[in-house]
Amino acid sequence: MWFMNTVTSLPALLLHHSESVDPTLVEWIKDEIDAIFGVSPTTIVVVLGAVTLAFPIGLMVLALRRARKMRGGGS
Amino acid sequence: MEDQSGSSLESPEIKTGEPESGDGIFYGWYIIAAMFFATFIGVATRHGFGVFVPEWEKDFGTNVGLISVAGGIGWAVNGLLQPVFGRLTDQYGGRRVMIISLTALGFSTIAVGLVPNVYVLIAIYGFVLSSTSAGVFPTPMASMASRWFQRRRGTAISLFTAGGSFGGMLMVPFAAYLVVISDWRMAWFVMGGITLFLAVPLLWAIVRDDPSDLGLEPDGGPEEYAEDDEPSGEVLTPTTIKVAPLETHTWSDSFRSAPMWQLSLTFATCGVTTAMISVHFVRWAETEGISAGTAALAFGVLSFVNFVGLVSAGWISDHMPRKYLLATVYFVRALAFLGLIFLPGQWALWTFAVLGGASWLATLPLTSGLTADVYGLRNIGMLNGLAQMSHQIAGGTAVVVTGVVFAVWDTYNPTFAVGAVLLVAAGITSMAIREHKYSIRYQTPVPVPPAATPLSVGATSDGD
Repeated sequence: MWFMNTVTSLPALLLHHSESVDPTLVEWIKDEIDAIFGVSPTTIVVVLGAVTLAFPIGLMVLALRRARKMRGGGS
Repeated sequence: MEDQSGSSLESPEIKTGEPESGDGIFYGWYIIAAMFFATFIGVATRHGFGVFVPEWEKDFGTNVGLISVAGGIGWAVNGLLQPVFGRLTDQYGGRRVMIISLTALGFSTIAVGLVPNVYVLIAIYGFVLSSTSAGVFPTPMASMASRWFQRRRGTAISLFTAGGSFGGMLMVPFAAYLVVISDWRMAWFVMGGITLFLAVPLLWAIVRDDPSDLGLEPDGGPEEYAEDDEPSGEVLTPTTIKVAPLETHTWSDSFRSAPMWQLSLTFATCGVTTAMISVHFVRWAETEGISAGTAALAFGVLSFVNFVGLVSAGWISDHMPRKYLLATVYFVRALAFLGLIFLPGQWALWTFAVLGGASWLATLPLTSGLTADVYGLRNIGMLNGLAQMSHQIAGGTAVVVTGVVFAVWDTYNPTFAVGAVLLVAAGITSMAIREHKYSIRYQTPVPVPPAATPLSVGATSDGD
């Protein structure tokens, strides 16, 4: 019994670096998001996707601007 | 093979006193930002596992036990491969290792979306995806951050590590909603696509192995060492360097000195105590009459507090001896464990969420930072990888032992008590590290040998 309990809990080991993997917590987060915003799942995917995309694109733009400035400054 | 530690010595073109980058921001922070995103997507991809378990149960007609084998194998494989990728990082440079690994991670993420049954899932997720993610986080990244930062090493390591926490907060719900509007296969395809088309190009365009590759120096240059908070109080000049006293030519020689054992054993204690809680927390809450939803909420609070604790610990450790902060983290976590034993259910839950959360991830920047401070950069990948492996092995063992003890005595108190004792011992061990004697931060600068190859360089030509 304890062995099966341990084996079935193994994915939770991964929690140390990303706690929200827990299915119960994910369900709770989904319920809270639904209750607070009351928007469709598609809207949430679009918003979260946009936030996810914004960071690397913004960073890439900053890095390109920096590279251009460095070239322009002759450094 | 190319030895990363010495490669930059041959062309010490130093731009002392010049701005660190075109916009006044030290270029190392761009690298940290890129690694933050790679951690964000990489960790979330691997750790979003729990979201898909119910879907796989339905689609594959199997049970959570068999699916968990994929997660368990993945965890073990990831831990065991950390020293391998650490060694590769030392030999070939973190940039190459991370880009190749992240590319493979992207393809294996897409491959998970194609698996026809649970056995292929075990093969792809348990072995391939988990292997490739070991080449991204945390060992190669911690080694890379240590090369670019010395004075702000703790801050740098803690910031990219925080990408994992953010990934959990954003990407896991993102994946969960993708499953709602489409299916689980599409969720894996999208995550793989983001990895391949955003994270990989970002690393490729921004990350460089060593500051000297761009004619820069760690932390942006020696002029910053003139600030008051430079621990040794000594001002570096372009003709002086600091040398890590315990840096050795081979990684195995590091284990002939006490700090390596002190750091590895305390980090193993971190693994023991975090793993037993990660796996058994919800079940413990049930034994205390607390609902799974409340326990999950407490774990959510723990996640947020852990992010604050992580970044704070990294920043503070750059302004004081790291060992005191490391000891404090272990003592605070010991208090959290004692709370689980002696406080009533709800009080224990929330006390642990706050105290445990504050110390949850803070050990990584402190341990990695101290390792680089004491042993330099020549073998830092291997040393970080070994510490990470000890963390994982100790954690896995603790999970099984905790399960056995609970089965026999029907209580978690004995293992929590052992955890508290180990944490106090880890705190005392951390305090015993002779940081002022062995850390590069407290060494007196010495003149650069004209033709010699220094083992480690604090602020000048080597870039180490």
